[in-house]
Amino acid sequence: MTGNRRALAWNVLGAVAVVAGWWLVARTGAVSQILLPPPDRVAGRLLELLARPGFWMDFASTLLLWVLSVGAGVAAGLVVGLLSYLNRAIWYFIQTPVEFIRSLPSVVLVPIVGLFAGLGGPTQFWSAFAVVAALMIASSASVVRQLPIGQERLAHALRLPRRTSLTVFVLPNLLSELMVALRAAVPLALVVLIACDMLVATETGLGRLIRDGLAILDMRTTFAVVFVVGVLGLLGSLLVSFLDRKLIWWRSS
Amino acid sequence: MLVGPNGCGKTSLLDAAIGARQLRSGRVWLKSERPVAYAVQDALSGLLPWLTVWDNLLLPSRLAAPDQAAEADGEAFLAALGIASLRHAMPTRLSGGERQMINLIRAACTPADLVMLDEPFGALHSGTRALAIQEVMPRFEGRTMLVVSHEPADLQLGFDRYLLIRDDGVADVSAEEALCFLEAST
Repeated sequence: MTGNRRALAWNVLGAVAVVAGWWLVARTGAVSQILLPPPDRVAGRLLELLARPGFWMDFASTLLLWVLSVGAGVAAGLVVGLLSYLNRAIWYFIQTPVEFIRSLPSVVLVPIVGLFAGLGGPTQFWSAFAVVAALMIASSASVVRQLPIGQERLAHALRLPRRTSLTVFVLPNLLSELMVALRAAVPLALVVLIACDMLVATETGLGRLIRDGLAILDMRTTFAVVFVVGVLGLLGSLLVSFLDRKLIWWRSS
Repeated sequence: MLVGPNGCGKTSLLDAAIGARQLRSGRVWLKSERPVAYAVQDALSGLLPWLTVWDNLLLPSRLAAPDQAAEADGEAFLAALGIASLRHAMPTRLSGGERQMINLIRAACTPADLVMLDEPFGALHSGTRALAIQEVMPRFEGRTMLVVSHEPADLQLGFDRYLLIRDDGVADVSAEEALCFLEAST
């Protein structure tokens, strides 16, 4: 068996062990089935949810806000990074709020943003956007402030015009750094969106289903939606890894 | 040739000369604003990781003006140093010595009157170092060179002036004094 197949076999075995342990705990009554329904009942509930158009509205709402907030955050990082390259005073001007937001536990932004953006989608978008944008802006600004030292020296030695330096040295480094930040930003944005659903009274979203399930101790629904959120997060991470391999191909070469 | 103890500011002096470091005092006079051929000490960070070895080699000449001579030189240097097979390799795949050779060859292929080499042979073992000196260094003849080195053997290259950076400033020393310093510090 090759190393990759052996690793895959252990991966599958680990997942099966978790589900088997869950099933055993639930079926033996070690934990009440009201709190921990067995996996087969959760799977049944998941199939019921998947057949409901309402579920797909919640799914689409979370997915759309996730894509929009991450996309807008990346764009903000790129634009501010480039502006900071043209004029470093721009970065120094915004550095304190950006670093402050980046240092905050992300979900504490939700009630504050909610005060200004109101309930529902706008709060979700702006909260997730703020978290992603702070990460992206801080990352892009760090690149434009200091290229790898050897490249910095080469760019100066060659007496390149600023525009040439931008395209030859800055942009590829900027893209590389943004992709690294994106790996952290994508799951973080999903965390904030789900937390928004649970903290402010949103009408659609996967977090709303979790919140409503918890409110009436409908743990089958809660676990089923948690599973969907987990799969969504996993797919997001895989997509970022794929983009990273394609766009920043030299990192894996 | 520029010598001095570790941390005395040899690389900083080169940085100041090319404008990569802001001066707190003093001035830099360069005869022209033309590009400088520069081989950096940290060979990996001096190579652009998204370009192949070949594209890294030709980057300065392509940015200045597409130059057939630089391409011919690059091919000749790669072949002479026995690393022609690295032409399509990515920098992250190279050893420290190979990266340093690529940096040195790139400086040799850069259309410039002024050459700055920062510890150009530091990561090369003696055989490769001798080969690099034999094959690449003649390419710099006729150009103004500023070389930072810790290696007593580099004195054999023969320089017009030896500058020793000390706590009390920069001193013009003889080749013998530079050799004494380098042997005492290694």
